Amino acid sequence: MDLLQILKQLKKIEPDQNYSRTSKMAILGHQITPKKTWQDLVWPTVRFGAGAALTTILIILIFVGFSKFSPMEDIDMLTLRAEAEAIDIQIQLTGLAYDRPLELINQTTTRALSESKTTSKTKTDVSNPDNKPKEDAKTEEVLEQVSINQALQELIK
Amino acid sequence: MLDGEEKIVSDAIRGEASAFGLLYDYYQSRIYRFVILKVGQREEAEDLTHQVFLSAWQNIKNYKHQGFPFSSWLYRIARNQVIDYYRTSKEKVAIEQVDPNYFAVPANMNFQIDNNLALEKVVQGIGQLKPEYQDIIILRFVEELSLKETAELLQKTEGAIKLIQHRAIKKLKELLLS
Repeated sequence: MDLLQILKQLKKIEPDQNYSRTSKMAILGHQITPKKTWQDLVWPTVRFGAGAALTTILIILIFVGFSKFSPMEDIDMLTLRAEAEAIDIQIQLTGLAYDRPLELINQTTTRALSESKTTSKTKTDVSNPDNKPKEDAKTEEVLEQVSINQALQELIK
Repeated sequence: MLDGEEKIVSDAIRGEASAFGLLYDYYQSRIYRFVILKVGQREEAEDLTHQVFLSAWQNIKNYKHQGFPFSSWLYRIARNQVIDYYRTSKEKVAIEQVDPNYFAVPANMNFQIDNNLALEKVVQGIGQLKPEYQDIIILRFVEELSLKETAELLQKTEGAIKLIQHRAIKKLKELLLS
């Protein structure tokens, strides 16, 4: 028989089936543990080092930034004060809304005003009758303040 | 080559045991034949074949497809396993000096042919060849790998493979006639 034909017949060699099954089970049941390369060992250290270095740089930059490049240095305090004084602040209360009905507010305000007027007139008459117009003007002012306060207190109640 | 081998190999690389199981089923016989024809003993061949597949499974993440069948990689592992086997063998006997009976055809080989004697002689002859000739005879004439694949596997040029296979066959014929 031709040598090459005999060699081809060697292809019929087969392993024992029991062996094949056992071997396969053992191999596939084997837990794969990937080998650690030098990159695996070095990389965590490099990563930690880089993180620490970046954090340090960031902290330094923050401190240097606050101390050296403070925006308060560029401001002239005198000019700033002058500008602040020059500003004309006018606050207007254009509209106020209250929970209580308007009629109740008016009644309370009127009552409070009349009560305070009566009290102030009695006081001025007794103390200094000569200086009446001046005192009246002052009391009117006080009355205004008192009445507003009282009105507000009434509202709060 | 196994149908859809690239996909199966990439699944095995991702750690899918079932995918590697398919590769095992398809290539185990070939690797076993390669090993038994080189070491001549069934138990040794079984141990070495097991080691080949275990090593392949453990290192499959390192496998890179280079246009050749997965078997090329397995044959390379098997070759190295056999080299290590002879290197660490306690007896340290040169393969050429081994008693020819050592390479008798194992009893479990499923031959359904009349010329058992001729086959035994060929197996003994292969066992007496030097490892390089053994590789060429098994890969080219038993497993019928292409010249290109054999060249890649043995890391030689196709021209060198042609030359070595010519010498290997010539040597085997001499051994059979003697």
